[in-house]
Amino acid sequence: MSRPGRLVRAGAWLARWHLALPLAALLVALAELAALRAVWIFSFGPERRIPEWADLPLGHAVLWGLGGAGAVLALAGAYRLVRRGRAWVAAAVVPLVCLPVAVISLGSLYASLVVAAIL
Amino acid sequence: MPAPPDRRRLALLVTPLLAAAALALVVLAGDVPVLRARSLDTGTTRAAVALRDHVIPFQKWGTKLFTLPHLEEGYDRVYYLTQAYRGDQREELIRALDDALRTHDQVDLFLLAHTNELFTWTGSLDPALRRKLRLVYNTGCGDAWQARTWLSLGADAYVGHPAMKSMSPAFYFYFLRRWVRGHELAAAVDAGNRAAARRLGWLGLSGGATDATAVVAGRGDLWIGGAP
Repeated sequence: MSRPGRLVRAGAWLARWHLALPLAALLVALAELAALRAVWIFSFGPERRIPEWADLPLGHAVLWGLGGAGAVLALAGAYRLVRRGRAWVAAAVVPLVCLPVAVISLGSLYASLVVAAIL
Repeated sequence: MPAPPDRRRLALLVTPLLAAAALALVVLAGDVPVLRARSLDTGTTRAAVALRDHVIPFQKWGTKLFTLPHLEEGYDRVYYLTQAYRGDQREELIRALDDALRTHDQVDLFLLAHTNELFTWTGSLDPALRRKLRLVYNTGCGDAWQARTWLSLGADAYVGHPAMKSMSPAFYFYFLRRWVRGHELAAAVDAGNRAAARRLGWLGLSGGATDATAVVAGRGDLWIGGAP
């Protein structure tokens, strides 16, 4: 089977088991951690690659952009899984994937408000 | 494969509970919102000078991300410096302090550095100007001993950490948020100590050499707006 064919089959399998949103949430959370790492390396690594004024806005943009997306996907994924998915799948994926991703994502939004001296 | 039943009501119940549980965990691990204790508009001008030492990029970025907005919230002018190597920013720190002391009524100094003797850098400052130094906060491990030195240099109060492997950032997170919102120095330090010890206790890191406890020397009744 060709690679596109395998991807389509994998997507169909994820959709059938209502796992596409939790998986997307997990990937977004991992992407957020990678993006944050890129911001601090580009700011204070051996060679500065972004202007000094961008240190903070870029960090907050990542915290809000990917944090917000991760939170929405994790909660939407939990909703869909609980509503339509198999009970045993929901019982495993909601606490093991959706909750940790929601903690990371909502934590990002909260941390952004805390470090921006708003809360 | 038969389709599972539609559990709409359960989903509508579980999803907000999940969001609430996640948020509760975040707040529990972090801190509750801190409200401004009083108006910061005192009619006097104040500046903050902060120096971050040469550490890994994550720590430099994290310190700036947290510190700068808070200082900008509480002070008319902020001088924020980050070292690129050990011993860097000496001239810049002296220039910043000199400028801050000349142009503001009160100046607070935040030394966000591992064990240090940065008081030796301030010797060239005009002693008359140095009298305008108000709070000096030092995250350095075991640097609480410098209290007498900083007070004799002109500071009104000094906050330092006695532990030799102090988890100072844990204290600083809780302390700074209260200090810039008008809490009295001794109360902000006390709240910072308690909050940090509680969290570090969960990780088995409180007490002994890793204690994050800070001690105040000098005027504990100071607040960011001045003295009562």
